[in-house]
Amino acid sequence: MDHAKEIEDLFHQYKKDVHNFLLYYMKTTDVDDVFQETFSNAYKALNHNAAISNTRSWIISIARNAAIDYLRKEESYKKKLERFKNKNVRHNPLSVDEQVQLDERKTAILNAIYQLKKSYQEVVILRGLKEFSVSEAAHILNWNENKVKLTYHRALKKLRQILDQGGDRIGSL
Amino acid sequence: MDRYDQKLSDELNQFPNETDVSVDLEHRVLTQLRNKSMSTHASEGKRKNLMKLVPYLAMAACLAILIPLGYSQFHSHSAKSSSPTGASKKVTKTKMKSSSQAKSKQTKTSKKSNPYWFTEYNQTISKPEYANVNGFISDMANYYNNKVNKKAFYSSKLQRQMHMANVVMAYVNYYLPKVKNQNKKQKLTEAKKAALHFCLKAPKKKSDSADLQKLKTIFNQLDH
Repeated sequence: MDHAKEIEDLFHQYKKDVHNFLLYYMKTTDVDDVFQETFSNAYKALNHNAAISNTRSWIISIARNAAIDYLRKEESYKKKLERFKNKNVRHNPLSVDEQVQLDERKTAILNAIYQLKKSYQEVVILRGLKEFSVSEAAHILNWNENKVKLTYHRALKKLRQILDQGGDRIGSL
Repeated sequence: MDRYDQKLSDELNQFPNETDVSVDLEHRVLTQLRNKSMSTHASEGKRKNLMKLVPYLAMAACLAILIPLGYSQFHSHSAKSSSPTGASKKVTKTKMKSSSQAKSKQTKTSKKSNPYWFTEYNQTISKPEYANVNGFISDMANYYNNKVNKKAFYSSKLQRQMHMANVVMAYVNYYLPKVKNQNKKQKLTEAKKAALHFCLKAPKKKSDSADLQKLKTIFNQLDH
């Protein structure tokens, strides 16, 4: 059975959400390929009759996996490039806040998030920025709910610590 | 979660949740999805067609394996049964075995030139054609009386002799019904018996081969 109509509906419904997630997750504005790959993978999964309980968390988990794959490939490509050209190729993380149009404070927070370790970044992006529930985040990350709660709690503490160190206390606190 | 964390969490929640996708990117993704959909249809059609062909292909493969096997079986069987005087089964087996040995030896020592009588032996299997019985008898006697190539193709003399005996069997079987002279007929029958006995006995040592000696004597007599 073909799911062409279904995937188009999904695309129109979640394209902005997925694009936004990829921007935060990949720390770059160059997310077009991964964005395309996400919906391509989603279409494949639909054709293989994947079990979907929550569509939003399902499509975001596909986007996350596509991003991980892409970053892994890019990492290997960078290594090769560095080996042959002895040149460091890096994306500029500041371009994300320009794309999402963040103010100065939000930019500072986003930069602080990118200083966290990977698991903290993921849980902050999902629970904090994308406002997924604990169970949804657990589903996307393939963790249990307690781990999501605990990691998010620790990630927020660490984030506050980084912001404090940067002399950028939040709000009136 | 303490106050600070709650504030921070609230602030995080105020981040934009959606970003606009460029028209170009949107168009690209939709085109790709539509193309995929079409290619899925096409590949499904192809797969269905291929699935229909699978039993026929399997049958063709089976036939391609079985027909040559069956043909070779039939060929060997008919070769055995087409022996003019109906040589015994054991001798035929020995002959086949020896011919296969000869073939394997030939491949192993392909650089060596084939001995004269070995070539003749091969010919006897396919077309035992002599002008007359006397010619055959004379040739056999000549081969047998040490006119065989000195650089023997076979590793042992015994092996060569075994083949020789098989050649004799083949020729005798072929010519025996055609011989009118009673004396020659009798000699040929004796030769056949001696060759058969030699083949079956397969002496281990040269000194054991009394039958071989007998065969040699008979051919000497036939030659004269």
